[in-house]
Amino acid sequence: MPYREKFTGELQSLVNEVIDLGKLCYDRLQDVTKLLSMDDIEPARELVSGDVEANKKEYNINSQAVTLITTQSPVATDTRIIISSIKIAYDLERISDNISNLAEVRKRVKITNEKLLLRLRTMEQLASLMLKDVYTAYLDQDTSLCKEVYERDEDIDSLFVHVTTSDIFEDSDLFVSGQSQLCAKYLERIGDHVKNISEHVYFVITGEKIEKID
Amino acid sequence: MANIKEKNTITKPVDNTTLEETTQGEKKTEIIREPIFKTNNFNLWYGDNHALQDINLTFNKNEISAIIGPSGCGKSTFVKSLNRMVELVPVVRTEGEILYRDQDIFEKKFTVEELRTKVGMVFQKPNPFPKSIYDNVAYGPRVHGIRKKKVLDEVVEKSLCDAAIWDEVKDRLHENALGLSGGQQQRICIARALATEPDVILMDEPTSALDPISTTKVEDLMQQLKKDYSIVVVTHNMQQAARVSDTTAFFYQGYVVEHDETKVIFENPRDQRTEDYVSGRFG
Amino acid sequence: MSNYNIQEMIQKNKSNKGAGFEKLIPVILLIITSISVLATIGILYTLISQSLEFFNRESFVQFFTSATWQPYSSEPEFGIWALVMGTLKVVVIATIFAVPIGLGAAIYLSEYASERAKKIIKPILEVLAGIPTVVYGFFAINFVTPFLQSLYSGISLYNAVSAGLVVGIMIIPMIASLSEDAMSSVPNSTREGSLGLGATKLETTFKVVLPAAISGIIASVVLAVSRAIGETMIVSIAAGSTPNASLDITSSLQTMTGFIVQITSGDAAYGSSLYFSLFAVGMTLFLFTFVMNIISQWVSKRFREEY
Repeated sequence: MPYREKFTGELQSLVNEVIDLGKLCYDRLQDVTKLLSMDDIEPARELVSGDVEANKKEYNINSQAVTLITTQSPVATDTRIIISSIKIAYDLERISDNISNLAEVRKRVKITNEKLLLRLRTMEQLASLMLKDVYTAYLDQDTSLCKEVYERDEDIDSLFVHVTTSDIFEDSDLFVSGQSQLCAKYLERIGDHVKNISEHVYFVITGEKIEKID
Repeated sequence: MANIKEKNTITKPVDNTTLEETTQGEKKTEIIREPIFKTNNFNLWYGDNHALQDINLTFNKNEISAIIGPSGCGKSTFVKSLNRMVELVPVVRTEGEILYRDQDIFEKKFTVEELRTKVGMVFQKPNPFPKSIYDNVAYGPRVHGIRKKKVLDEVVEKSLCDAAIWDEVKDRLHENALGLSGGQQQRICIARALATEPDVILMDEPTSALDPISTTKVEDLMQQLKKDYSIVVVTHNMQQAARVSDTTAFFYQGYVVEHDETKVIFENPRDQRTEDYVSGRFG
Repeated sequence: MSNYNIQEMIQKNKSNKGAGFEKLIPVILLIITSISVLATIGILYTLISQSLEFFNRESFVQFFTSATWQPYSSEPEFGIWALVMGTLKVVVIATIFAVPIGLGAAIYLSEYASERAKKIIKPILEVLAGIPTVVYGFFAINFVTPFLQSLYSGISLYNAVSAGLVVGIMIIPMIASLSEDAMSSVPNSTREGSLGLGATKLETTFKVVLPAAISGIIASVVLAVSRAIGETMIVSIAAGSTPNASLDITSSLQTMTGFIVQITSGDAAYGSSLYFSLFAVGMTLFLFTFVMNIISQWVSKRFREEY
C-alpha cells in the first residue's frame, strides 16, 4: 500500500515502543523471586531504580498515541492499535511497578522458606511465560493463543490462594509472614495485568471483547 | 512484522450472537426502520462502460445514508439515478429496478418531473439561480403551479428556516442570491430543494466546495433535517461520512463492496477492501 | 537535480532585462489608443461644426418640426422627420422580423441542437452575416419586391417592406450569434438545478436560462438595431428616394442614410445648404446610434446577473 507511509511508519514506531516496554518488563521479571533469598541487597536496589525507565516509556507511548489521534484521524484497526497501545502500556507499567514492589520486600526482609520460594518462583515463571506467549499471539495474530493466555491466569490465582491460606508457608515472625503474602499478591497482580494485555491484543485483532472458552 | 492484520476472507469469522449481545449491551432503543428507496439488481451503462453493477441497496426513512468510494467508482452516477438526472446524458442505458416507496421510478406513469419534486437534489458546487433569494426558493413551487403570494411567502419562510438561514437573509429576500457567500449559497440551494416538500434529499458532495465553518453548518443542518427528511449523501470526505451518517455504503469500480451501519464500516468493517479504503491505505 | 544551475542563469540574465523598456510600453500603447480617440474627436468636430454651418443658413425650428424634406425645390424645406420616419419604417420592420427568428435560432442552438447540428448550422449563419449588403440590396429589389407584389399588388417598386425584410435577414445572424453566446455562457449547473426541482426543459429554458442571459440578448438586439439604423446599401437600392413622413410602408420612402448616399453620389455645390444638410443628417444619425448605445448600457446594468 503506497499511501500514508508516514502514518504507517508512525503506527509501527508506536507498536515498537510498546514491544520494547514489554521486553523491558519481561527482562525485569526474570528471576525476580531469586532476589528474595539473596544475601546481597544491591540487585534489589537496582531493580527498584529500573522502574524509572518503564515509566518514561509509558509516558512516551501515551504522548505518541495522543499525537496520532489528533493529527491522523484514525479509523478501524488503526484506532484499535492506538487505543490498545495506551492500555497495554498501562498494564506493562503496572507490571513493572509490581516487580519493583517485590524487590522492595527484599530491602525489608530476606525470605528463606524454601516451599514458599518455590511457589513464588512458579508464579513468576507462569506470568513470564504468559507475557512471552501474548507477545507471540500478537505477532502471529493468534486469537486462540490470546484466549489461552487469558485462561492461564487462573493458575496464578490458584497458587495465590494456596500460598495465602495454607499454613505451610507461615513464619513465626508475623512481619515475615505478612511480607510473604505481599509477594504472592504482587505476583498475582502481575498475572492479572498480563491477562488484561491478552484482552487488549484480542481486541486489536478482532475488534471484540474476549469471551471465555467454554 | 505484521501489525496490520491479513484478512483473506470477505466475511470475518464472527458469530451473530456476539453482535446482538453488543447491541443489547448498548441498550439501543427500538427504531422502526422503514425503507424509502430500494434498488433491485440495478445496472447502468454509459455506452459500453458498465458503470453500475447489480446494485442492491436499501435506504431507510429519516436516516442519513452515506455513499463513499474512490473517484470513478460510480457513487455520483448512482445517486443521480435515484432522481433520474443521470438520463441527461444521452448514451445512458439502465436495467433493473429502483423502487421509491415501492414504486418503480422508471415506470411510464411516474413522470420524471413528479419524481423530482419528491426527491430533491443539492449539488456539489452551489448553483443558485441568478435571481433574488425569494425567487430562488419559490422557483420549485411556482414551476408546479403555485402562484398565490401568501402561500409562496409562507413556503419561502419555512424553507429558509428549515435550512437554518432565515435569520441571515430575512431582511434581504429580494437581493440577488449570487451576492451571498459560498456557504450561504449552498444553504439557499438546500432551502430551494426543501420548498417542494420532498421526502428525500440527495446530496452530491454538498460541502466539498465550502470552507470548514460552512461545512460544519451544513453538517449540523443535515442532522436537523434528518427528523423530517431522508438524506442520501455522496462524499469523498471519510470523516464527514463517519460524523454524519447512520449507514454507509462503500462503492468500488461500480459495485457495492459493503453496506452497513456507519459504526461498523468505520470501526470494524467486514471486508478488507473497505478497511483499506477507510483507513486511507488506498484511494 | 538538473545539470543546469537555473538560479545562476537567471541571475546572469537579470541584468539584461531593460527596465526602461518596460516603462516605455504603457506610453507607446497610450499613443496608439489616442489615434482612435483623436479620429473620433475629429469626426465629431467635423459633424458639429458643419451642422452649425447648416443651421446658420436654414431654420433650426423647421429642421426639427417639419415633416417635409424637399431640398431640391425652388423653396427648399428641410424637415428631418421625413427622413427619420423613413429610417424608422425600415428599422421597425427589420426588428419585428429579425428578433423572433434570431432568438428562436439562438434558443435552438443553445438548448436543443445536438453537437452535429450545431456544427452545420452555425457556419451557415456566419455565411449569412458575410454577404455584402449590395448583394442583399440586389436580392431585395429583384426577388423580394416582385414576390411581395404577387401577394399584394398595392406594393410599389420602392417600399419599406422589402427593404425592412432584407435588412432583417441581414441582422438575424448578429442576434442569433450573440444571444446564443449569452445563453451558452449560462453554466449547466444552473440548468441542472432547475431540472432537479422538477421543471421541464422548456420551463428551464424560459424561466431560468433566458432571464439569466437577458443582458446579453438585449445587447445583441440593440447592436442589431444600431446596425439597421446605419444600413445604407439595401435601403438605397430598394427603399427609394422619396422622403415622406407617412406611415405607408408600401410606397417609396427615403432613409437618412439613403439621402446621404444620394447627395454624395450626385452634385452638391460646396457651400450650399444642400451640402451642409448632409452633415446635419449625419449628426442626427450619429445621435440615434449614440442614444441606442446609452440605452444598451442602461439595460445591461439594469438586468445584469453576475456570475
